[in-house]
Amino acid sequence: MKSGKVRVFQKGMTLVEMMLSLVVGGFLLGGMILAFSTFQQVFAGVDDYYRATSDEMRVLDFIGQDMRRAISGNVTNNSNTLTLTLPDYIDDSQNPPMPRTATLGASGTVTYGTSGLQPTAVYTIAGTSPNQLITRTYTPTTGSSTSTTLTAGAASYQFSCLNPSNTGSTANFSFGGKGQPSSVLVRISFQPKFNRLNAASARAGTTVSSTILLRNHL
Amino acid sequence: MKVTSPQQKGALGNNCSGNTLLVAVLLLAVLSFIGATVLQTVSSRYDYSQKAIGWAEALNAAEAGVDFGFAHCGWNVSGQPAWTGWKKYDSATSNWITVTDATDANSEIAAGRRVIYDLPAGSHLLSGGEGTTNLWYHVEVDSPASYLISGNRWYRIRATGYAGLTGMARSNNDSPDGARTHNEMLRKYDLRLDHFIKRYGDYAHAAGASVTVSPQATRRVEVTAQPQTPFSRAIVASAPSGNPVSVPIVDSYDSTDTIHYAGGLYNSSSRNANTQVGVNASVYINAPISSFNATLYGSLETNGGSVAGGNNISGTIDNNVTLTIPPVTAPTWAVTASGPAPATITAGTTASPSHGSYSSVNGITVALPSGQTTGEANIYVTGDVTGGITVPAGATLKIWFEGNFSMKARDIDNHNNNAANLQLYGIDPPAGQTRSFSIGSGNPGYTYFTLDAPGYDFSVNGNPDFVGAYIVKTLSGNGNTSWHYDEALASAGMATGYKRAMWVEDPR
Repeated sequence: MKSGKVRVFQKGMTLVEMMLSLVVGGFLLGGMILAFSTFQQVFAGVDDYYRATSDEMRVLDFIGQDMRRAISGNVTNNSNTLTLTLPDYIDDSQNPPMPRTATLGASGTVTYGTSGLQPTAVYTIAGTSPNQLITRTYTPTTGSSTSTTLTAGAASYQFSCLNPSNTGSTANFSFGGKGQPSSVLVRISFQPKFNRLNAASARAGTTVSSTILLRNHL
Repeated sequence: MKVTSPQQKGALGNNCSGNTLLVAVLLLAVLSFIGATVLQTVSSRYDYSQKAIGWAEALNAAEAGVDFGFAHCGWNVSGQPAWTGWKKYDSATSNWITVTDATDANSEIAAGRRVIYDLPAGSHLLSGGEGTTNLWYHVEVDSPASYLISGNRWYRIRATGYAGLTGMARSNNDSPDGARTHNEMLRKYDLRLDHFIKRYGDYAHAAGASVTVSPQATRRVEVTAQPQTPFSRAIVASAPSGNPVSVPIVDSYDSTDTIHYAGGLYNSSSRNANTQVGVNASVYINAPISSFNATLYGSLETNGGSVAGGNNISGTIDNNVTLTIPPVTAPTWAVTASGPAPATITAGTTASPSHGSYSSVNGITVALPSGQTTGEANIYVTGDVTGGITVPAGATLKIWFEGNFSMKARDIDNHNNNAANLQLYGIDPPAGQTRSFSIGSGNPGYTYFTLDAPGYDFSVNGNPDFVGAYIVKTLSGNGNTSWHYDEALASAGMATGYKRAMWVEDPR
């Protein structure tokens, strides 16, 4: 019985075997850690890419909703700032707030609320690259302005509003009036954070755009 | 003597197997955790995108509903069957019941009540792709009392578009900073309750009612439908030859804008291109003209012309406009003429105008009904109109005529100083025949009337200032005539259709 136990212990690993197994195990463990780390980075990169993309869509949808109903607007600061004049449709003085009945003019004017006193929404990029956010500042006819950040995280955003008939120009322009553009091309892009895609050309692949028809164009 | 017992062997073997199993379980747990995290994140993101697309598609459904309501408003004036399948509220039974016909629906609307339409389940709009496969709408049309202008009804069309959302009743947060209130958020989904009904109520529920729904995206659009009348332009020449207009000025003013135009009267000093005041006189020439010899404060449209921009036209030029000019026909109430019109006719009330049919007119004066400050007279003339026309303040006269029209400008005496109060309709002559509308010389100052006579040759002598809107076949003058379009006439005259005057989405 005693000699049998000794034989069991003799079945253990030698120092060389231990060292070899530690080296192999170390490589395996290191590989796994590296793989997990890389996986996490890729996942974070993809998630960040998705977040920025969904932010683009949210901003575009926000602008689309406001621009469709806008009475007029203008684009300034090299096409990076968009100002919209909106119909004062909701009467916030009521509880709950209710839609207003429009005042009609025989010549075809339709006014919600007080003529010449309409709310505005301003879209612009805040901050410097790569820590930029897109914001919307809404100014009602009464009360103070509300500034809302539309993007979930910071990125190197580019935002521009262009005249569809002259997309090569970043000159200021107004729209909504007679002889002015009846639609606006809105473009948003961001710089992906993947290392290999840090080239400026990578931005082109992230561009989303929409040509929005101004429903209230004269 | 055994070297090892089976028990010892087993113990050793079990220890080895246990380690392997433990490592395997740990690896599986780690991989499962990673997989679950990825799935949870991807699922959440997919849910967000899928529902965001559904939200965008709900607007398509709402606009389809607006189109449906718009079509019925137009059919109402074009004579096609309107409001079929729409419902009105029956106060006797407290139910929404189907209207019997267009008259029934129009009565409801005229009374300030609404008619509604729900797209039947079997007619839902089908869609493919990521967002939704099921779209439908609910439409409400009404016309508040203030929506009746110059006898023409404007409509308010409210359409709610719905997009059924597949998947679970959940969506990723649309508030990136997590600090937004309901009103500030963009996409509002009805995952369990209809949020519009909760806020405003609807035709069947009071505000605050909790109406349970399957997950859906809901968007609401309100459109104001404005009647289109023949007088939405300053001058329309239906078949001109050569350059049809050779006058010093065509401009506009708004008789309802007493801020810029004291007493609602025309003046040229208020004209300002920067503020768009007085520069809205559109001219349509239904011919391929190459030049336009007038100073036009407004826009020019031609059918196949080649008019280039210049200092004489302040607005836009569009040489590719094909406009359908509705023919002018005898009014439905016309009867066989009893003889020439008397020198004086008494108008009916505005609510119940008078009607008369005559063989000719040689000077006519309208008298207000007894005890009234306003009134309206409609006459149909099978022959010529000559002599003069006198319309007292408060009265409106509409004349449909089949013969020629001839009188001096000074003999058109419209005391209202408003063209809407004297409306002249030249009935289209039979094929191969011509008709003339002649205004003789004189020194009349301003002459107020509207003319819808697309089959008439309009000729002018002298230098009157015409204030109104004019639809003719050809137009000729001596070069000293001015034309001042009253923008308020866009709502006057017989409605021939509808156009969108305002589009607004309810962001709540």
